[in-house]
Amino acid sequence: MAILEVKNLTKIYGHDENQVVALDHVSFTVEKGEFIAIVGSSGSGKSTLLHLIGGVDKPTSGEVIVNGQNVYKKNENELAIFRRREVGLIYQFYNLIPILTVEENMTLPVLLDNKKVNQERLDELLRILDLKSREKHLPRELSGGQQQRVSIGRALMNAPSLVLADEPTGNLDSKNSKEIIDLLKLTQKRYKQTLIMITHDESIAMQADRIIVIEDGKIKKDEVIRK
Amino acid sequence: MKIMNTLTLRYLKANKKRSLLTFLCIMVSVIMMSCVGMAFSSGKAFYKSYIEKTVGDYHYYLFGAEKEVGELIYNDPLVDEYYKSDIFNLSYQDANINVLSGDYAYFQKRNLQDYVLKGRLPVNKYEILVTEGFLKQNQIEKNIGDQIEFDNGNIYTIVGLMSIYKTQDYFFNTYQALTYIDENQPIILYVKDKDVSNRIFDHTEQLENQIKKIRNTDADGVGLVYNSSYLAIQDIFEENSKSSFLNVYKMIYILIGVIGIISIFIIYQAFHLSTSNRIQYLGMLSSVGATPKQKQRSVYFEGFILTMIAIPLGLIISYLGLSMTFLIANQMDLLKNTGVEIHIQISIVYMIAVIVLSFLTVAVALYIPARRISRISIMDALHKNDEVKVKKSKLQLNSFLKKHLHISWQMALKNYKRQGRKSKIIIFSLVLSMCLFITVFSFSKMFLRTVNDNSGISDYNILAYVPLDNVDQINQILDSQDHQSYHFISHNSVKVHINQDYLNYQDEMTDMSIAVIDQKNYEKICQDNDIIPTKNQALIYDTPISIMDDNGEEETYSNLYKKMDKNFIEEIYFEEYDGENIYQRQLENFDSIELLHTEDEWGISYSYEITLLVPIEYYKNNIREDAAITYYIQSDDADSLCDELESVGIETVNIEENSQYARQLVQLVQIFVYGFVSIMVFFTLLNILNMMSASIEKRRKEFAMILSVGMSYKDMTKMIFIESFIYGIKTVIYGFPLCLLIEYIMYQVSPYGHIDFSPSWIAYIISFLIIFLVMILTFKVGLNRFKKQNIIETLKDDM
Ligand SMILES: Nc1ncnc2c1ncn2[C@@H]1O[C@H](COP(=O)(O)OP(=O)(O)OP(=O)(O)O)[C@@H](O)[C@H]1O
Ligand SMILES: [Mg+2]
Repeated sequence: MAILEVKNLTKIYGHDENQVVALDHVSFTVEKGEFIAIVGSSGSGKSTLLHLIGGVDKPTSGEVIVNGQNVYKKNENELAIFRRREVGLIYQFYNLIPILTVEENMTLPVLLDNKKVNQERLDELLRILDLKSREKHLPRELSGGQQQRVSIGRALMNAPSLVLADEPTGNLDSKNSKEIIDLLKLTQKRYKQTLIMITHDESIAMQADRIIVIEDGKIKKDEVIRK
Repeated sequence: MKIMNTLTLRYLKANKKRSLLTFLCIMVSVIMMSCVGMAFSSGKAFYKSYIEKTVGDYHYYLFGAEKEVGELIYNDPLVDEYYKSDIFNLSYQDANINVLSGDYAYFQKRNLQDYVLKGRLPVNKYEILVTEGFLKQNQIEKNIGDQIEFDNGNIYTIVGLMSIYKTQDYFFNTYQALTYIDENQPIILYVKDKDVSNRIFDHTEQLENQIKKIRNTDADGVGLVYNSSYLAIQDIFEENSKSSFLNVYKMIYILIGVIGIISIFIIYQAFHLSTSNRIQYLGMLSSVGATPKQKQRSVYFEGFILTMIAIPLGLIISYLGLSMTFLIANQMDLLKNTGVEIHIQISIVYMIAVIVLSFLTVAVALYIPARRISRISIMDALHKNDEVKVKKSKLQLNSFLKKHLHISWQMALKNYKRQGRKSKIIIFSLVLSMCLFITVFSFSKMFLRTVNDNSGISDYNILAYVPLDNVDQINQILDSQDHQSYHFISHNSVKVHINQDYLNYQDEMTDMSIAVIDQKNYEKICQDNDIIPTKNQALIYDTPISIMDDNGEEETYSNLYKKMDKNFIEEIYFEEYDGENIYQRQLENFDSIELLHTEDEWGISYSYEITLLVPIEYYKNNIREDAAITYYIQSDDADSLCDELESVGIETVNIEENSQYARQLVQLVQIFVYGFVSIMVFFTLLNILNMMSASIEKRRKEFAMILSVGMSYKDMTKMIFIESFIYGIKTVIYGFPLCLLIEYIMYQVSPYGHIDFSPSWIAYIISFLIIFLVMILTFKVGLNRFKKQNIIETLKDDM
């Protein structure tokens, strides 16, 4: 069953002579449980695509269907609930709330849902992400890599069915990066999640089930490398 | 939900300065609105009791009321209260004394018991109290219980000794004796109606008709005089009233309106600034799934917290502040002397209006950004792209500027342009601050002028009534003394035949006023107008006059004189009354009439008829010899000058005490008004500070970046200075005409509307300086923070 359908997705920034076509009629389908790597040169439109799938941006045209629901037909309220429950988005630039501690940032989607925090899961994530001693710290007191890990923790906290990661290892050394990828793959397996990850690292891309190459806002190659 | 509230509270804490400014803005707005209202109603209450104490709490009095008129009042169901009094003269072996009489109620109203030194108040018309001074001066060896016979044959029993009683009512007299009212004589009947409203005038009209019937006369003027200040302070005005109270009220309403509008704007602006600062973190929240409702609630929650503290606190502070001020004022000798205290008065309706208005403003101020926040796209919010997008082309500077302007100028211009609509809001806010300041300043100026004019402060402290024949003699006495100045003005009415070709005014026979002024001033007026003084001329100021036509409608004539090449008066008559008949006596016509171009600084011209200023010789030769002229004398030693004038038989009134007292009252009002102006300056500062610091906070990161790529602090300061300068200039360009307009409107409703309008230039200069200074200072302080802080910290700091 397709968990994600992207149909003719187009995003144009700016007007007139300043126009930038960031995405140009992109279409593809993703099956449940798949691990997809998106690669492409800088400025090719990868982040834009991910934001559109995660429901945090608005497309110029086209559709995104997650679990059979058309994301951009939802009203604001439904969209918010979609963002908090169904997707976990790991941003290229973290987007942590500076006045909340590590722990609070990580549990934010749960708290927004008025649910009780699963303490076990939080502890597990903190341990794997190596943030145990930092849980009461504010983001600005962390290194870039640590901030990245907090945003990963936030995305995984609610065990969403769709995890979208924008260069999650961009700021990490090879040991740390391996651990993070292992964590993402592990939770993907355990919760039968679908993982879409943007990466510049070929070795990481090669671990995926499928690689999508984006060039100038279009899909240049879409290759299944493992079943 | 809880997490959102925690977040909001933590956000408020994290942005202490911003929260504090928002909070202060609401609070000060509330303080201003409530203070003006409370001060207004307290002042009114104070003035009301002040009038009650000094003039009396009656609504009107009937002068010369005979028994039948009395009966009419005593049996009138509309009358709440009445008391009786009379004043007359008695002489004892040719020594004159003023006697006050009244009934028991009158004694109580005037606290006359306090003046009894020994004995008791009179209880019937055969009993009298006199001053010890009267007994001593006239060497009367009488005591309490003795009888005293006056020159007219009246015999009284002395029942007590009193201190001299001076009234501050319309009669302004000093009394040396007090007796009980004799109801067989016409008396002064003070009346207070039950219905304290405009219906008093209907009632008095009825009374007037009834009195006319009793007296069997059609003549107007039954001797009914309103206590108009007392009525005015209770918002009761005659139709078409020209009371200066009305003007003051109007000015205060305009002031309240201006303050209200500006408070609304400032509260709105404060929230607007604080929410647009939060836009990024609200974007983050929604990127992890906060619903629009949650975000909006968080915005409202912030407003709610701040308002819930700021409004009550503002009310409490205004209450305490005013109470303290009044407490101090009550300790001042001035108020102690009046025996009236000022107390805080709260109009519940007004206060509720203030609270509701503040809440509503906050609600609207929050609703708009809350909606904007939920509409803005998350990606935009994350990138803090909430600024109104300005077309790129607008940011481009032309190549000439690019080549020749220093980079700091270029950056400053771009910064200004980039703000787009926001810069307009900043300027609007600055303009409003300026308007507020100037309105209040202007108001204070006019208010003080009104107070001054109505306070009875005069530039003289002795009035002397000099028979026309004695004028030369008195002038000699006065001229021979140092340290004093004097002038006199006297008016008489005349009937005049005019040549219709000369006036824009249709009436063959008209009333005019003939005025005389002392020689020195007469000569000065002639000199100022290049007129050679002669013995038989008339001078006229070209002031507009208002004349009641047959329908009782007022018509104003200005530019009265078509041409002035010849005397337009054909005949002039003086009306005389010999006790039975009025007959007209023709006066000598003038050789010439001259139009004056200077200002009428002595107020010689009447506003309802043409006033002819004539030389004293003409006056002496033509007007009744027994006419008296009023001298206005300012002397350093009023007491001895009075004695000297009295010794040559001139009647004098020493008003030194009165004017001293009035001066103190004006000083008191000044203290209040200046206090108010200071609050206003503070408020203006606060608003500008709020605007500027918000704009700095928003651009901190940008500044840090500019510094990180190597701009020097000096260039940066320059850049900021230039930007402030652009704002300042723009504010002045828009603010100046607007302020002039507001000032002009205020001037029009003020009692001085018809006089020349002069803007308060000082206020303009002050406000320009304030705007420039505060803008540069806030920028400077912001910059200094960077100096202390390391650049990378600022860059890392997202909010
Ligand atoms: N807010 C915006 N306004 C205008 N153009 C934008 C905006 N955001 C992105 N773009 C443009 O859209 C294109 C795609 O951007 P995107 O961030 O998706 O690239 P990317 O593939 O993620 O690049 P990288 O690997 O460097 O992160 C770029 O050319 C970028 O300049
Ligand atoms: Mg990217």
